[in-house]
Amino acid sequence: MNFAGLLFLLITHFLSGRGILRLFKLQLDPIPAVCLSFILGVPAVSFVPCILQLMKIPLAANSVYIGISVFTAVCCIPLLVSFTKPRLPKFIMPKLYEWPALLVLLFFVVVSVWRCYYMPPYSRDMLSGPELIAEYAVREKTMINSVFNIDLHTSNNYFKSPYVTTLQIIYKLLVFPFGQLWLSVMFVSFTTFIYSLLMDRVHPLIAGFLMLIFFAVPELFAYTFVILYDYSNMVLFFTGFYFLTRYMQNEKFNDFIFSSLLFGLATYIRTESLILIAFMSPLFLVHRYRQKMPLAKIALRLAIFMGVSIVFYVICIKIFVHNFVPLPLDVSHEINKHITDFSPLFKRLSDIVTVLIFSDTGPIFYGCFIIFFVYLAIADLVWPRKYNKEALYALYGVAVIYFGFGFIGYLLPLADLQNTTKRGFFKIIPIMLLYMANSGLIQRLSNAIKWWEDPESAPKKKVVAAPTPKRKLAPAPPPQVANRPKKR
Amino acid sequence: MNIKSVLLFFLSITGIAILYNIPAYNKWMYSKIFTVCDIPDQAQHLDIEMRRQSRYGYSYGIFKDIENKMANYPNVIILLPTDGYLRANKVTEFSTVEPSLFYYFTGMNAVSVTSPLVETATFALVSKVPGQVMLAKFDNKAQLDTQIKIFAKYPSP
Repeated sequence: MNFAGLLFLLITHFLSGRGILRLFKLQLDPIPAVCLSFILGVPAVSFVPCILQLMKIPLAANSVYIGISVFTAVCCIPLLVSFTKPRLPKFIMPKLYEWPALLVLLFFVVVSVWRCYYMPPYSRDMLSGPELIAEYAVREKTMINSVFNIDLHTSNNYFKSPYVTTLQIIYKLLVFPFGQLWLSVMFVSFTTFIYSLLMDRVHPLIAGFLMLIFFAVPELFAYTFVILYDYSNMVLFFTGFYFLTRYMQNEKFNDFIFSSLLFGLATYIRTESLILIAFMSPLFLVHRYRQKMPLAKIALRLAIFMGVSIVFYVICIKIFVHNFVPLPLDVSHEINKHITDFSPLFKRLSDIVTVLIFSDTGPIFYGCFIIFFVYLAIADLVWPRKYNKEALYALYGVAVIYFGFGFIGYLLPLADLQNTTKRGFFKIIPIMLLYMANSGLIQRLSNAIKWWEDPESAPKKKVVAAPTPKRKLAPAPPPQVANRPKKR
Repeated sequence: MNIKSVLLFFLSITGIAILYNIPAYNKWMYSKIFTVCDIPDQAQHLDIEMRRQSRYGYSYGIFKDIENKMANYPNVIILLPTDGYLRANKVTEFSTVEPSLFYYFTGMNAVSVTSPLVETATFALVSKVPGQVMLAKFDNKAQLDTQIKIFAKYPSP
């Protein structure tokens, strides 16, 4: 393994992500800012081989090194223009009770990173599409290579976004023949990011426990080391959703634009995300409307919100796939021909519940995570029936994913239940986790632990004054003006 | 040390123990984490080809053998058998793949029986002895047609 190449890529992911992040002038703590830099940097750098290919520059190690260096330098311009001394995160030693969960999480991270490094790419969707193209792109120095001369009639995976293909090309050329380690960069960054979100909302003991059940979603954990589109798509979709909810609460336009960018990148990775993003838009539209924002301004916001994702869709399909796949792409036959028949929609919505979640295979896919969420949501409904804004937004996000995937299954029959929907449902997991952290019941439990641990942090009980007997008050004496110097 | 921290520490350990004793999680941990990922052992076997062999299994070894044997033949296009055909001939460990995966593993062109390019095949992977597979060259189109008919009789499950 080429450690220098890996170090180079880690630095360029971070710097390019950091530069893009600076453009938005977001107010973030140091740790989430570092995590987001990597989360942004991975897809950002993935564009480099596409640009080289469009410029007809051979995809060799040297050209990729130079291309990534130039790209990172361009992304760093905002950092140089408004240079500030970087704020280093303060290291706070975890408390004794945080260690068990942290050690278990560390164990899972090591397992995931090791498997990502040790095992070659495996999934059929990769080997018959992006990984195949990447492997021969490395050998033949072009993404338009001999793969397109063979019999491809059993697969359409080569029509997917070039995101995985290009990252595989970069990592194969600069790091290791199996590539893949970019997925570990996404995984570790996202894990740290979401852990910091939980730590901000609940007691560390509960944050650790929630992280453990998040890690124990078997299917999701598997895709932290099996390269495919869905994990990265989940990461970018969730971060986009999170910044949208931040915008709804702080009303900062930068958060809104940043959210649109993240949703756009999610669309670049999996184009059907565009449908989910359209479903997400009523969340802020209604919110703005209730705040009496002028309709023209609301329409402009909607145009920006959807426009960014549409631009990424066009970049993916009309520029990259159109130029890099020398085969005709016709998606018209993939769309449901009987659009007025809604029975497939209801069947899919029903199948998601009965086949995917509440079935014998449900725990194999998602562990007890979704069931735990459902019980918690019902419990919250009974008591304490208190929802903060973030919890309500998260519930809306859960509904968007559920109904959105029902709609995708109805509109695109090829988006089957056992593959597309099952893996697409990864996006619901961190949104549910965000709800759990804001759940009324868990908030109460968290506060109870906090106050028990540190009674001084508990809100002081109001001292109720004893009622005084009503009596006639004597008229207040006129204000005395004493020692006033006499006017001369 | 704060006694409350110690109590919370034990609470944390109890919570973790309960979580991983839930049957669904317990089964997952043993079947997918502990048994599959033996890092100390795997760290002793870092050879790239060995790792591929371990991941892709027995069929991959057969594909690599085919690649080595056919290295000197120009313009080879192999007609791949169906899984149904293989099972009917008692070939149990070896499984067929799509032509695109065959190309990924070997760099050689292949076609399946349902392929529009099936007529271009020059060799076929057949089972003449029960339980074994071997390569057979087509000397004429009639042989190819016969082989296509045989494979088509046993579609993949």
